[in-house]
Amino acid sequence: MTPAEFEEAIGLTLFGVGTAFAALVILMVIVVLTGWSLRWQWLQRRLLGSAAAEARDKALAASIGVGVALAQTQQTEDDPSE
Amino acid sequence: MPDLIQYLNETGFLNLTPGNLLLIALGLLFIYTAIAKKAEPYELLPIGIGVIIANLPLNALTQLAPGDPLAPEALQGSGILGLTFHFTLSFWNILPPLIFLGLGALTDFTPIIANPKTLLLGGAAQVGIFVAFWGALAISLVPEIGIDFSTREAASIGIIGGADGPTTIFLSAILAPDLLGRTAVVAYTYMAGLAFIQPPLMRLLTTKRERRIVMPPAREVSKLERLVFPLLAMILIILLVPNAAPLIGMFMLGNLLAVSGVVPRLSQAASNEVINVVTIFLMVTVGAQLSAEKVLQLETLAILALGLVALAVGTVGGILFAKLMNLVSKEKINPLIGAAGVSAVPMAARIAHAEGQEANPDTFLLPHAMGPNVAGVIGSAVVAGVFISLLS
Repeated sequence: MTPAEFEEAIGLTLFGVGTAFAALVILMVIVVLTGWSLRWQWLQRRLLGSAAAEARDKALAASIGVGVALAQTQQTEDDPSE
Repeated sequence: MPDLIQYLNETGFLNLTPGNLLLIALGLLFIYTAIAKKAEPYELLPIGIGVIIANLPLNALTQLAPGDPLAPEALQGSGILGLTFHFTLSFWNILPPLIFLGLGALTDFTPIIANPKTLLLGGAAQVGIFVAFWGALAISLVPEIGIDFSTREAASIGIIGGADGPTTIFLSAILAPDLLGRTAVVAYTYMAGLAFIQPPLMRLLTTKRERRIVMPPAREVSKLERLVFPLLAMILIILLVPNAAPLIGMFMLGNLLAVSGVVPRLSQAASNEVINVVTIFLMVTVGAQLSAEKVLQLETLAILALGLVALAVGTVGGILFAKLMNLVSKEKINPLIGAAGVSAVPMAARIAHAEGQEANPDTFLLPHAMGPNVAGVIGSAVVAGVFISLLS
């Protein structure tokens, strides 16, 4: 092996190992970031969804409460014994 | 009478050499291994037939007309295997990327997406490629041995450590066509024998406690993630190593056909019809490169030895890197899955799973081992791309 061939082989090894690892590490980072991003969106949707649901439940509960109160009031007005 | 003598002289019987008989026996052994042992049957059976054909003298199947096979005077002068080798491997490198298309359609990236750090194990196991590469160059430094591998030949021997047949064929066809038959057959032979090569190394390098590690089930992966991965990986890797494009581009295309869910006929064709037809022609053609005059050389023994070193070192590299990751990571991984980083999909992952089950029946390593296994395919294709960039 000539010194030039030796140099070429060294360069090939360093570049080969480096590139393979660089590709896989960058891919790993991208996958992690994509996963986080998608999960964050999913979380956001969940949070927004649950907040909306909570507001809806509160409104429903309030309307039921109002309805019950109204009904009770009506019942009291209709009851001649009271 | 003279006609009869001439005819007899033109039969294979009178031209058969002891070397041909030895190689025919090797072809029969491949066929036996494929049928009786069911070891890599899709590869070893057609390769075995190819080896037998290559050693039947004067056969018209493997012939290639001298000079330009497309010249008018060369009409009807070539056989189908000679033409397949010339036009789909040597002149244009078509068949290995088509195999990658099918492999992509059959591959599930979910384990990698669910546990991205397993990608690193696929990188670590590629160390075998470079050890065998240097081994081939080192052999050439000793004149007494009488072997002189060029850097290009050393690279195509080293890639056997990628334990990926189509990648080995793809690279050898470009860098060292004379070695193609031998490197490919050595790669497939060792992949068939992986169940004998890896387990002793796994037991040697891991404690029973490590082999008993139970990995929690991987998280669920959404369809969007499975769609984004092949696209991002393809763009990134081809930008980084443009010469890996024929393999990586086709691999990711096949995968996208499968995960998209909107082209079931194309996905079905890639993972069945395309890969099956290509496998027949590729394997028989590769086997047909193993004629006695090419194989019975000292070089072949060196390739056999270096191929074994490459796979063994790759296995060791993956396991040790997994142990290293355990030192720095809170979430422990079973180091056996590191051995699956050598590729050989899905054989290496199954071996890791079986070894884990033997140590602890509660471990279920198969889905976890598929991560480094698939990462190994990507890693070896990247290394092949680097070799082509710098050596062709």
